[in-house]
Amino acid sequence: MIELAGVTKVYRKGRVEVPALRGADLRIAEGEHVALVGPSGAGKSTLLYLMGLMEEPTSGRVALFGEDVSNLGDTARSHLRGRTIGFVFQAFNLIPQLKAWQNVALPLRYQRVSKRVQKERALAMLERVGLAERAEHYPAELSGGEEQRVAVARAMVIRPRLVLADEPTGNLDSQSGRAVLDLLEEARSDGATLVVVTHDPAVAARAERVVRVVDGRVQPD
Amino acid sequence: MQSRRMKLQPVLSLASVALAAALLLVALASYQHAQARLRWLVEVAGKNVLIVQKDDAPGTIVPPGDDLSSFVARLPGYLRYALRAEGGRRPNAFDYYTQYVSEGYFSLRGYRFLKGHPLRQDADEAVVGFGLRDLLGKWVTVKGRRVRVVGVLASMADRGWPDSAVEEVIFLPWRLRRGAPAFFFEFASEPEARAALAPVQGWLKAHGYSNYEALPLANLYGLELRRKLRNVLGGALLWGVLAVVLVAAASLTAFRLARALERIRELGIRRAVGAARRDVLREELAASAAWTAWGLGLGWPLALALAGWFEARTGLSARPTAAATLTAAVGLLALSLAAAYFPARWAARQPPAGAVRGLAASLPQKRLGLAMLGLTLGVAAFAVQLGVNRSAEEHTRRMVGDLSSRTAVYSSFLFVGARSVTDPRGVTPLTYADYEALLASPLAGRIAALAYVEAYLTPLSGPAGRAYAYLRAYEDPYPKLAGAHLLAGRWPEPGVHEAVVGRLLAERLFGANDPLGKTLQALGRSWKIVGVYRGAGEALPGNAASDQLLVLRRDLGGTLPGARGEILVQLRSEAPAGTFEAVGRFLTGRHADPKLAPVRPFTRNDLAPEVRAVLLELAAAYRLLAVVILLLAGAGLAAQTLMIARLETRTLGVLRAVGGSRARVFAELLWPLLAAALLAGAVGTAAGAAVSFLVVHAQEATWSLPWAQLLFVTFAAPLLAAVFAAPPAWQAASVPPAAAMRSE
Repeated sequence: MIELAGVTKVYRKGRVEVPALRGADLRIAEGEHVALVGPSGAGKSTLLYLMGLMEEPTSGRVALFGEDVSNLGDTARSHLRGRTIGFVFQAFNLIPQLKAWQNVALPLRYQRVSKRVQKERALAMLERVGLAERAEHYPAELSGGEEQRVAVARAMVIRPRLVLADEPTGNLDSQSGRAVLDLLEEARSDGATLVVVTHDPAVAARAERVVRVVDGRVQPD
Repeated sequence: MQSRRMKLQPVLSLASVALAAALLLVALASYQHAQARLRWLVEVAGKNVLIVQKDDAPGTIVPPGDDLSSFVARLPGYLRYALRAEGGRRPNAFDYYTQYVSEGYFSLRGYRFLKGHPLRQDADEAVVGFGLRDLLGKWVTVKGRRVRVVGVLASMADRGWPDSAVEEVIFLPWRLRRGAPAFFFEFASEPEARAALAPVQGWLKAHGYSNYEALPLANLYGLELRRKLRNVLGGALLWGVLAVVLVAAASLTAFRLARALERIRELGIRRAVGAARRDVLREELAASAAWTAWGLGLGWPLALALAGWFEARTGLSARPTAAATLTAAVGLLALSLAAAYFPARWAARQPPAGAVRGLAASLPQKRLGLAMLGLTLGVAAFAVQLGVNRSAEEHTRRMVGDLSSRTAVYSSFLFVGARSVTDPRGVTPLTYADYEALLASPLAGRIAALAYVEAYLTPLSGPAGRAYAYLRAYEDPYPKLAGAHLLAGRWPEPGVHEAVVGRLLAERLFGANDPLGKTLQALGRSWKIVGVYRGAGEALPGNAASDQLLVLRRDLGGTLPGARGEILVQLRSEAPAGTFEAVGRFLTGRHADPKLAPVRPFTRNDLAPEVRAVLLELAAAYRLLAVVILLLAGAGLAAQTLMIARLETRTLGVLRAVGGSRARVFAELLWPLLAAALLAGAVGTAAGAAVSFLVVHAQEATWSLPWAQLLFVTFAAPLLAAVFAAPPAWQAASVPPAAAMRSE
């Protein structure tokens, strides 16, 4: 359901071109739990962002759910991302001006869901991640573990087909990290595919398949 | 700390928008009120009216009568006419100054009534000017006839000297008239009045009325110069308001960009959870519109308070009208949407993957330049106003004479200024003996320069035409004190009967021919023209107007009959206050006749006070507007510095961590701002000077720049930057390194 073929990605920094991916090929089946591992700067996060339609490839083909998305316009990409993909970031990336439930409801806002339904679904999701009582709190009033659980709730609220997590436990203690991974794996029970970028062997060990990225290329299994 | 900042930020944003709304409202309202004042300056001039009157030449002639009125009535656009004859104040020195007027005269001249009603032509009734308002309802004897005062005119002192003279006049019915009539013909429009001028002049010539002249009534009010003044002042004000709008736009844009930069990660998150570019754009614009609406709501009472303060200091109203409010609302909404659009568009176009990591492309490096844009525009606006204001001042000087602020004129016969013109007593005849006595008095120690001049009305004739003009026989340094500038040739030498001729008189007498070396006959002598000069516009006391002839008094061989003596006094800079009045008392005391009016000093502030009043009001308004502009630019700069410091907190932390002192970090933050501000000052001054040249040139006015002030403005920009940017820079440099390093 995810297919990357001959994908390259080159960033420009002034006049300098920095290649992040140099022809990556990868297939991930629906419902699979995959860990992307490799040294820093290998291109793991870039690969993840390409799958999440957050980046456009310089060349090559990216297909999601059987559809070539390499050349989709911004509106179509945003539409697809908002309805089918949930993101979890290392730095949580909650919006500080919004309360916990408002952060969770954010993706629904762009799906033109009514405010009442937004709040109902956000509160239900917060209850599922064990933070119902923290719904009215701002991110600054939450612990790191709680912030990441809110971020997971935000990723899950759309019932995603694909969950992408970039070092989701990187900023957490081991107990909080385990709780977050448990929550992410729960998503799979709803049929979602889970792709996790990690440096942590313990996190990688929980995946069904470990994909190694080195120097912008995917190593054969 | 973070939540406190979160709560404070909306309050600060709202306060900024409210302040911008209030300033915009006040600027627009003051512009609107000033435009009305400038329009008034031109409207009172009776521009649709032609006057036909006897010229200054002596002698009794048969005046035109109904045949002229019948002729003019057939001209296109003719509406009506009225008549007036001067009654003077003789034979009784204590009698009132009188004018005989026909039906409809008051309404044609636009003279409003304070109380009562116009006089009936068939009754023994009179109307008086504002200064004689106590006579209302009383019977008075005028010209040996008892009349009852039935109406009082509203004060017209602020309409200019042609009307201020009416303040103490008593108007009598036309049937009692003595003397030659003046005709006032009103037309439907100014072009029709102008078009009628040539036919009327032709009719007068064809019918032998050589002592009668026809001219637009507006000429008596200096309409063209008033128009030029209105255009130049109005242009300066418009540029001032535009500058406020531009500076506000630049500051708002820079502010929105900084805000977008600060929120780049948040926008990235929104994009990550499914927001398309257009969603981000729409949200940003909607937020901006909402801020504007709130800002306008809060800005209104602030604008009222500011308008009160503004009016108290300038005399010019700035109270927001409905039209100004509507314009400000629409303008501010458009401004804030435009200011929000480009930063929002830029932010929405950032790749979400980079944005969620707080990375943004290229534009952040340009933020310093954007921050300086507001300051550059502010300095440019300041320079424009300095240039245009200088030009307007020079126009005013041309209009009302070129007397310096330390110069006063004492005249035997003053025909400006309500009190002396219409004082029912006679006036003191000033003579050369008075001048000599003043020179010998203790007051001479306070006087830097003293000049005596005698004016004679005399016929002159040249190859291109004839004229009745004033010949001024002077003692040096009269030309210098009166502001006469030599255009060609030289000033007269004593003992050889030489003269200098005014530019306008030279054109009238000699046409295109060179007058230098030619001779003119006047006062029984032959005068050789050795120079041409340019003088002030109007034949006011003390002015060496351009339609006169100047000769040395000693060449006359003494005072001749018909002389009007004038003494010009220029005080030393250290002369105590009240010296002008002391000179007046000295001259009055020399004649010691209680029947005569006291001798009063006339300074430039007594000449065309209504024009000066408008100029002073607007000059004060410009200064305040310029201060507002610079403050707006400075506030924008402070906000930018704060944003820059906040965005670079981690960098500052690194600098502190590797050993940079607070002062060093502060200097590193401030130095580029000061350098950029100096550049902004120079660029703004140059741009402002260029624009002021274009504005003044478009009005065919003379352009000159106050260079010293401009230089000050150029260096004021970095000073302003230092004042506004130093506090936030110092605050940023004072953050503990550990806290700065933890900052995201």
